[in-house]
Formats: sequence, structure tokens, C-alpha cells
Amino acid sequence: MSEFKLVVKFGWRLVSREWRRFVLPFLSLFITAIVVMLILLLTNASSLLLSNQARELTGGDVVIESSVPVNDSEFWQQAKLEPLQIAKQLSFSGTLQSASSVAPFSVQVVDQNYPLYGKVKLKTGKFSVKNEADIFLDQAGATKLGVAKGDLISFGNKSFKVAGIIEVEPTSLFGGFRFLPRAIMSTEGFSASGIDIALLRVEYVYAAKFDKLNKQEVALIKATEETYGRDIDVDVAGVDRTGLQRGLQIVTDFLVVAVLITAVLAAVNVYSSTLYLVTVERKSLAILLALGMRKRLLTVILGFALLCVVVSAGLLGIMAGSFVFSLIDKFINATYLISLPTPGFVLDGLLCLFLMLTIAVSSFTPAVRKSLALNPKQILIGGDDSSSENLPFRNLSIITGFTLLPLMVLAAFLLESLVNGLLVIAVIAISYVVVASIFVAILALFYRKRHTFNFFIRSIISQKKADGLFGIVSFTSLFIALLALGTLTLLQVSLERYLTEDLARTVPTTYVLDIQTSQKAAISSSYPDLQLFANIQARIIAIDDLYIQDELARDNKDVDRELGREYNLTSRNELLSSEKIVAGVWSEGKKGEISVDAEFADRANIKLGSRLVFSVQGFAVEGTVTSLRETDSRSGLPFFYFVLAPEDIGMFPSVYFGYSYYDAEQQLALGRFLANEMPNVSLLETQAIGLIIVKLIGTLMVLVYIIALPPLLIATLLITTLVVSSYEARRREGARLRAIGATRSQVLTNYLGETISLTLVSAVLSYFFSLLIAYAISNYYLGIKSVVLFDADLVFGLGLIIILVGLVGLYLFKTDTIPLRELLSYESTN
Amino acid sequence: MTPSESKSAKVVLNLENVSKKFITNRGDISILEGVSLKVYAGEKVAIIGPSGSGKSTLLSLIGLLDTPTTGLVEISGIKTNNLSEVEQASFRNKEIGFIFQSFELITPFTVTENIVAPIEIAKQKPNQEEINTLINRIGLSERKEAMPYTLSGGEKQRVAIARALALKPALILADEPTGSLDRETGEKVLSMLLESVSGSLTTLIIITHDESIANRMDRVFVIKDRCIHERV
Repeated sequence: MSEFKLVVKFGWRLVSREWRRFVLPFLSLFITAIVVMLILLLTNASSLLLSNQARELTGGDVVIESSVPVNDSEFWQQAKLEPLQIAKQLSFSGTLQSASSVAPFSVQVVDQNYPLYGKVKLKTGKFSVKNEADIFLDQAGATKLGVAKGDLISFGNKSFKVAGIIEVEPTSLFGGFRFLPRAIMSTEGFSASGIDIALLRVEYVYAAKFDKLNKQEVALIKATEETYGRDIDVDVAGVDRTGLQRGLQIVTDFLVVAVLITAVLAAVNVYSSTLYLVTVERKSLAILLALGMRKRLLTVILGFALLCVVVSAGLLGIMAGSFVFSLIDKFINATYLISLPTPGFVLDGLLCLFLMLTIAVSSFTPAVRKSLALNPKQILIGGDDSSSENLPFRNLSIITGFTLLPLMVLAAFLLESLVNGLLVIAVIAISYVVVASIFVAILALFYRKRHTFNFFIRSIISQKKADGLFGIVSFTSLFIALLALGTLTLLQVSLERYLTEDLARTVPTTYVLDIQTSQKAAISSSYPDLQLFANIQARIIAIDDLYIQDELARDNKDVDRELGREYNLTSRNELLSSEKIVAGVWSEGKKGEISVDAEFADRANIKLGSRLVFSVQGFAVEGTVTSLRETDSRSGLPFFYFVLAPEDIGMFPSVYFGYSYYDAEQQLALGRFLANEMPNVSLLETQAIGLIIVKLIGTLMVLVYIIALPPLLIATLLITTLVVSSYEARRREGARLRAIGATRSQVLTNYLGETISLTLVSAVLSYFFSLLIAYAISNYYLGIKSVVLFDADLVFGLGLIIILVGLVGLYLFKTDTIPLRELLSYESTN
Repeated sequence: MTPSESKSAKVVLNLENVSKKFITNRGDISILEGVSLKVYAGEKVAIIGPSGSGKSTLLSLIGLLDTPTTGLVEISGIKTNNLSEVEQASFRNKEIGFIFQSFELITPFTVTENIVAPIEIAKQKPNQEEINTLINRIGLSERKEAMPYTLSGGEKQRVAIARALALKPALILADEPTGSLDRETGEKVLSMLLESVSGSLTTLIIITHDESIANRMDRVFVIKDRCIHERV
């Protein structure tokens, strides 16, 4: 018989007769294949969407944005380019009024060229801004005002007809989060409203259409942006990604990391299963060696058996992953009216299969090497067996290296960066090794102290020690999966509580934005409860002797680039209830004295006594820092880096910001007043914003759970593998214990105690570490002081995993009908 | 005078009409039929027979690892047939010591832990002095913290013997105790085993193929054609 035929015959015999032993690695690879295929298709489709519709998502080939009017013709002349078409827009917040209600809106004023790319889809009818009396609202806005198509609403002095309800705008999905409803009106309609544009905080947008831009032209546009005198931001389609476009890229990177974690877990699972299979079958395999088969051929036979499993799991997973993708595609299409481009199914399928094979080979090789390291005599007759005990760290390093090396290449490919690929895999590997080391150290400690425990606990400790590498890897994988899940859940619950409870208690119910100096007296007399704060924009010229803008122009790396931007200054005499002086003395509004936020001061190297010079509307304003403040971010009260004396900046025209604790009725009355008297002023009701944020976080968490679920599922499978394989080993030990007098229930208790203790310790430790990580992230990154310490759902989930493991063990034990006499037959190897 | 020749000797094992059948897909297979046997305290007995004759099955029935299809198994005056699973386990723990051909040491336990295991299962406190004496007797005082996988076959079997003796049982059952050892090591192990039980009231029942081992026992029983006969 040829060697090939022998390999196929023996390999197939192994798979078909021992298929039960392949069920767990099959499931593990199947889940991995689904996840990998799905994520490859999603990332591929989203990249295609971004590149295909970059112009649509950006709003044009090139878009100039500015807070002041820009002479765009001048810009194009400087850039030596001539656009085919230009669409000019204004965006601002304003209050609209219907017969029954008022609501703040994000208003967009567009000309007839809008949109340059893509279409505005209405529920019924066709979008057009030819009629100056037409206004278009999105569904949220229409609901808020209680109007439908054809109803009348007013803005300023003008009455508009709702000409249509917007379903989709070209930039709606990727234009950034908008808390306010949308309204679109024509340039002519806005002019007719009689609103003074100077009263509004307007963003000016100039979108330009080009036939095609080459690299030099893009470079020229970027260079012109740098040298153009005013503050402008220029986005080039396909080059600059903003808002959710950038967010999508981050999510894509996160998905890739999730793929890699899943892949590592799957590799560990395949390793464990292969090791178990080869260990269980070691005696039969050794007989083949004794009969004259070479080790290489035996490895090929085992490899062939595994190949059958990998290919079948991979192909089924690829099909299932493609099916799930088509469901998601339909969902996105139905919900957002966006059709995802068709990704390369064949290429992604092949890539997925390649990954499956990589995982299998990388985990199979060390497992087989380890198991067949002994010679046939040692396996058949017994002898030195160092496989289970010696050098776990060396073995762990070798296996980690073998498993991770191909994954590093894959990571570099998926993340399109060798450094990032290495970094991600290194972080995963280090996490594994750190957790494994802690586990080994704790186990060693317990093993040394085992004499202080009773017989059955001691035997559990000894069994864990004897599990060696297999036990370490299983524990580590489960721990990391549970840790990820625990941390995410605790963060979500903390955030939700912060937004719905903590904030609701302290945050004002009403914010009023963009009150102009000329409007201050009128609104203060009508609504004296409204606390108003001046808001004046300024740049820092100098901190002591350091001239910030000059240093930034000189590209001084020691100066934080953030100091180059505009800051909001305010002036007042009183310290707010949310503020606390941590250094110096509150000036009570004395001329020439400045109070600075303590954290910012630390970052910008500002100290008590520092001399600050600001440029306010072209004038230099200077003062000395006499106090440093801390602000409780949960208060929801206005937060300013710099507070100056009214005497120093009170003479400059400023925009005011106000807050109050009005109830719903008072809010409606204020809204009507603003809509009638000051439509440029926006009213924000914080209850609504809190709900939107909670909903948004909830949606993101669903995504996070979907991503976290496969690694968790595979880790649970890994534990099941451990339980099944440990049962195979333990049944013999159990029989030995029973032969010397232990009862069956004692052996069962011992076995369940051992399997459950692993999961329990892992769950308890992961919960504890989740708390620490969630606390650190919440406290130092998110700025939430109160972290949820207990979440019933998380504890319930962890409990379910422990019960599942216990049930698997119980099932194995209860369905084991082999009599004690047969368990103690002559097939032992020790 | 051997214990069986003494009329005052106590019967440790009494088998009456014991039979064992296995039910298979191809019908019932009878292994033992009408086996009756009496073994006395302090006696050393060998059971011999060709492969597949049912020697190990008989030992499993005596050791309460299996139950007879019919017949009575009485050990130290206790009729074991009606014992519950828990009572059987406790009885095995206190009254019977096993020595297997394949040693059956508990893999993750050290030498000492293996020897002490029956005492701990009986929820008794091990007497450290007695344990040390036992370990010295089997010549493993230097290796008492060693793991089983580091021991040679002879050392493993010596640990198994010490474990069987740890609770001073009434009956020791040895199933081919030298079967996995070379002749020289086997001889040493057997001598140690015989020496350990001689002069005590512990009864030894040994299953063997080896005539030379059988000849060193007080009595020899032969299993043939599913029945047992004493060789005179």
C-alpha cells in the first residue's frame, strides 16, 4: 500500500471511529470560522462603502468648513483649482415652533446645488429647495413639533410649510452624532425669516465637485489649507475621515482584535483537544510505532485526521458566517436604507480557511511533538514521563510561540501594520503569560500547603498540579474571556447608572445656548432663574515668558499642540457649588486675577503666580493666576478652564450660556418665548439627551457583546474539553480511590469539586479583576467616580457558566456505566 | 500447622455457590459456576488457572469490585451481598487491601500520600511513626515525597503493598503482583509481601500464573472449567 493510501485509510479510520473526540475542536473551529468570516465580510464591505461613497459621506470631493464666512473663490484661486460645481450651506442651532409645540433644531440652510453627491430621500415626494417657503424635517423633529407633511411651522418671522419628512441624507450615517432633530431650508427661506445671522453660531460649509483629483492636487489643497489666513478645515473625500467614518475605522480595528483573540482561543482549544486525543490514543499510536511506523508518518496520519475536521468546520463556518452577513446586510438596508457593497466572498472565504488551517497547524504541531516525544517502550511499558510535570514555563513559552507566530503574520496583514500586528499579539500573549504565571504561583503555594487541607481538597489541589500545562492554558483562557465580559458589563452598568441616576440628580434640566449680548437683558428679566455665563473665545498668547503661538509655529515639540486652539473664557465673582479651590485663593472677581482648572494647569505647566496673556478679539488681556480649581464633572454645571474678572473681559461682546432647573411646563413656556423672541437661541432638555445617550450606549454594548460572545463561547468549550478530558483521566483515579474505600459519591464530589473549582476560582478572580479594571477605567478615563460593584446579571451569567460546567461533569459521571472491575483493568501506563 | 489445619482458626472468607454470568449481545457468558471456598485468618492462598478461566473475576467478587450473579460472599463474618454501595466502600476500605498487577497508584499523589490515602479515606489520623516504619520496610524512606511517575516498576509495587497494609486489613488481594516486573524484582517484591503478612492474622490471596509463587503459599486453588478445586 502506498504511503498516501495508508495515511488516508488510517486517518479516516481515526476520524470516523473516534469522532466523539473531535466534537469539541470541531465546534470551536466552527464558531471561529463563523466569527472570522463574518468580521472579514463586514470589514471588507465597510471599507468598500467608505471608499465607494467617500464623496457622498463627505458631502463633496472637497469640503471647506469654517466658523466664519470664507471667500471660497479666493481659496480655489490659491489652490490653482477650478471646481465643476459648488454648494454652499449654513448650519446652526435654532428653535422652530408649531401650533402645538416648540423644539430646538439643527438647521441646515442649503442652496439648489445641495447635495452635490447622493440624494435626500423623503418618506413621500421629491426633495427640492426651489420654493423658499418649504422646509424639510426629519421624523424626530416632526414628532417633537407634532406636525406632518403639509403642516405649517414658523422660524423667526417666517411661516414655512413642511414639504417632506427626511428619511435619509447622504451624510446622515457618518456625519457624527446629532442630539437635535434636523431641518433643511433654502437660502432664500432663511433670508426671509429675518434672523440676524450675526446672532447665530453658524458653521459655513463650501462643498466643491471636481472631475478627479490627483495626489499633487490633494497636496496642493492641503498646503493651501495650511497657508490660508483664516480658521478653516478642509476635508478631501477618501483622504480625511471624520465623525463616524473614523469611528467605523476604530470599530473595524476592534473587530480585527476580536478576531485575533478568538483565533488565539481557538488555537488553544485545538491544541488542548489534539493533546488530549493523542494522549488518550497514545498507546494505540505507540503500537503503530512498535510495528515499525515512522513518527513522521504517524504525525501525517494525525494531521490528516485533523485536516478533515478543520476543513469541514471551516467550510460550514464560512457558509454560516456568509448567511449571518446577509442577514445583517438586510437589517442595515431596512433600518438605515444603506446597501452594503458586496464583499469578495471567495477571497474572504479562502482567507478564513487559511486562518483555520494556520490555527490548526500552529496548535497541532506542538501538541503532537509533545505527546509523541516518548519512545514506544516508554509509552507501552512505562518509564520516565516528564510530559506532565517538568518545565511548564518553557513548554508554555514554546507553545505560545508556535501558536502565535502565524497569528502575528495574520494580525499584521489584517491591521495593515506590522508594528500594530506585533503589538496586539504581544499584548494577548503577555496577558496569557501573566495570568498563567499567577495561576502557577497560586497553585504552587496551595500545593506546598496542601497538608493543611482535608484529604479530598488535597486531592483536588494535587490533580490541578498534575494537570500541568493543559490546566494552566484552560484556566488562563477562561479567565481572560470572563475578565473581558465582566469588565465590559460593569462599565456599561456604571455608565448607565451615571447617566440615568447620578446625572439626573444634579444636572440642570434646562440649558440655553447662544444668547447674544443684545438679548441678555430681555431674557434675564423674563427668566430671572436662568443662570447666565459669558463665553468669550480667546487664544493663549503667553504663559509666563513662553510665547505659545510662536513656539507652536516654530514646531517646538515641548509645547502641547492643544494650547494652540481657542479656549472659552468666562467672568464672574462667585465660585459655583460644583467647584473647589485646591490652591491659592478665589479672587472674587478682582481685576487682573485668573482662576485656572487644576488639571489643565498641570498639563499646561501653569502655576500659582503664572502670568497669562490671552488674545481676545484682537486685544491682549493679561492677568496672574491666583487660584486653581477642581470641578465635579457630575454636576453638569458650566465648566471653564479660565475664569477672569468681569472688569477684564466684560467689555468684549460675548455669547451667553445659561442653565436652570425648570420642570416640563416651564420648559415649554421658555421654548415658546425663545421661538417667538429669539429663534437663534437653542433650548436643550437634558432628560432627552440622557435617554439618547443611554440608548446609544445600549446599541454599542450589543455590538460589544456580539464580539465578546464568541471568545467566551470558545473558552467555555475549552473548559468543557478540560472537563471531558479530565474525566477520562479522573475515572481511573476515581476507580483507584474506590478500590481503597472511597464511595462513588465521594469520587463524584471530588470530581465535581475539581471541575467546578476551576471555573469558580476563575469566575471569582475575573470578577475581582473586572472591578479593578472597571474602577480604573471609570475613574481615570471616563471620569465617573461611582463604579457599580455588583451587577446581578453578570453574577447570574457567571453562575450559569459554573452550572454548565458542573452539568457536563455530572452528565459524564452519571452516564459512565463501566463497572469498577473493568476500570481497574490492565491498561494502565503508570 | 497452617491456619486451615487448626480447628480454632477463624474463617475470613467464605464463598458459597458463587456464580458469575456476563450478559452480552450474543447471549449470556458464564465465567464462574458454583464456586465454594473457605479461607482462614493468617492463611496465604494462591489461585491459579489458565488465561480467561475467571481468576480475576473471582478476585473482583471477593474484593467487592463486582457482585456475583448468585451465591454468597462472606468476609469476616459479614454477608456482603446485601451491603449498600456506601457500606461496600467502607468495608473495602477497612477489611480489604488491593495489590494490582498494574500498581494503580494515584498519579498526582506522592509516595507517602498514596500510602496514607486509605487511612484518610477512613477519616482516621495517620500515625506518622507507623507510616515511617512502613515506608522504611519497603525501602523507600529516601523517596517518600517522590511522584509515582518517577518510580521504577518494583518501587511502584512496593508502594502498592504498603498502601494495602496501611489499615491492617483482614484480607489482602493480590492480582498478579509480579506480572509487570522482571524475575529478580518480582522475587524481591514477593518476599517483601510474604514477610509483611507472615506472623500476622492478615490473609493473603494471590492470583498468579507462576507455579513457583503458588508453591510458596499455604494452599493452592485451581480454577478450571468455571469451577474451583483445591490442589492437594
